[in-house]
Amino acid sequence: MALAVGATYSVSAMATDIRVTYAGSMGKVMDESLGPAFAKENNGNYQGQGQGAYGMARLLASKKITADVFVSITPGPMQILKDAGLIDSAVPVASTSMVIAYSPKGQYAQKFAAASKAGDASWLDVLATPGVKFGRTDPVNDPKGQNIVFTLLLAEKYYSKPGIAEKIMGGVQNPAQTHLEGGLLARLENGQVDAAAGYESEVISAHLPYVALPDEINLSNPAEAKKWYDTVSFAIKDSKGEEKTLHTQPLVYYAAVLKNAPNGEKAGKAFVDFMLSKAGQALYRQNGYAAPKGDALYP
Amino acid sequence: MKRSPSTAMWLSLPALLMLAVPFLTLTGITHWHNFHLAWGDGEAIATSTGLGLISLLLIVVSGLPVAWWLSQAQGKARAMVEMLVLIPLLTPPLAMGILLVSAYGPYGPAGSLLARLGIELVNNPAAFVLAQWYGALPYFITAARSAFAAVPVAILEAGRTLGASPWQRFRRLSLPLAAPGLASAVALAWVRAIGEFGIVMIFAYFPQGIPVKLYNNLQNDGVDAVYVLLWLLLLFTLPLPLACFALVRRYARDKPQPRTRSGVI
Repeated sequence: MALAVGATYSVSAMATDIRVTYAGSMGKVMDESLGPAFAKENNGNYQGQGQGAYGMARLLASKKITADVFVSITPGPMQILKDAGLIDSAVPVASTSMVIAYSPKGQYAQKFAAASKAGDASWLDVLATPGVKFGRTDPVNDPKGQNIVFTLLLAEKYYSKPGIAEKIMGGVQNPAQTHLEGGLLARLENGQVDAAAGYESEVISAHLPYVALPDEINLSNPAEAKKWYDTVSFAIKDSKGEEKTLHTQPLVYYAAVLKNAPNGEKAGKAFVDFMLSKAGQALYRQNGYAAPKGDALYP
Repeated sequence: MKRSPSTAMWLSLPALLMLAVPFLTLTGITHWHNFHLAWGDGEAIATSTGLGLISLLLIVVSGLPVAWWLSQAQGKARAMVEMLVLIPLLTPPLAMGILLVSAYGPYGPAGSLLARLGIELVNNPAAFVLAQWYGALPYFITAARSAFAAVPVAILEAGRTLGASPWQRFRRLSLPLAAPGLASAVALAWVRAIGEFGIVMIFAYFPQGIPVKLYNNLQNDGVDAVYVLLWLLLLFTLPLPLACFALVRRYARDKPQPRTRSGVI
């Protein structure tokens, strides 16, 4: 052991340990691909911790948790760290899009497969079929839960099918559909829901079949944001019980180095650079993620 | 062996200090001047305590016979029932939640049977109660069984000799003699049911009780909102176990004679 440590030390005098916090849906790519690859390249230790992006941002902002790097989906959680004065800027490292995953063994699997092949609005009709069990996360606290609402609202406009979003959702926070991330995953993999809203990246990681959606409704393209995505919005109650109107945020993963990085800002920067490197991007791609889109935040 | 209470007290200090540290911290970091509920906190308290009481009733009613039977039974059957209680006790709540989804989900074996009766256990009060029931029942059975097992066999034997039926022996002898231990078992079940998060977060995200609301408060408002709700959780859920302990103390005062483990009273 001592020998091994000594040998490692002599080979690379600058072994870099890294602690990364990330949006919960990134567990697989972080802990099984990027983290270990970075640790190997730098002879250091990798520690990854995932959670709902907003909860994680708040734990970091209140300094209950420290980390070298935070990777968030959408700019929203990053803003919390920016407001806390913990980051200067955040760079896009990957992106994804909204898809409708479906249970391969469920009784509606063939209909979803046909809808996926057709590439038209028929997936909306399958989702709206009475008896289809649709699962999504809570729009009150989860960006993904908000994103599926936007996707359905955009689909309603894009395909000119007034009322279909409401028909599918049965209310923005319909208890029969909304679960916590882990609960939804358990239901989807168990075949206890027929279909669920998901990010393409996680759905590919989970080897589930899905209906891919056009850019106009999948929220992946920052270029669509201003002229089209922003035409839809919905309101939820905030913590004071007041109505708060939400707008879309592009499905881009942003990374930032924290100023109180326990392993130093240099280590954090090295990890962000690694994520942007050819090797890092290849690992993202292998895990179903798309290339980073759009500009850095707070440049 | 002479036990000096002061020695015991000194030896208790490390444990007590350890238990106190987080809550002394909580007292220090709570923003008392800005102490207000987040939206929906009141509902969460009502859900936790209201549905929690229903769960507790179900836990006690369903658990007592098992606990009593376990305390009396012997042989292979007892070993098997012991295992059946031990396995859910050891299963981490998160895994238990996943198992409940698999079993009681709309397409699960138990779930599809219930669906035929028109009952769906997805994010509704019944699912919430079921989650608490599963979470606390094994703890209750284990604690209540110990309470029954502490009742001297000689007393039950005497009852039998005098012609008391099993029901009479349970009702007139075991139940009152085990009462202090049973009160602790009820307190334990309550605490376990109220604090249940792992099962609930997977199986019954709605209606939202205090543990799920704590999680959501963290997501939406940060740690300060967690502290406030935690104080309220303690305020609303402490009375029941305190009452149980008071019952135990009163019982001990009324029956000052130590119970003998061997021989006849």
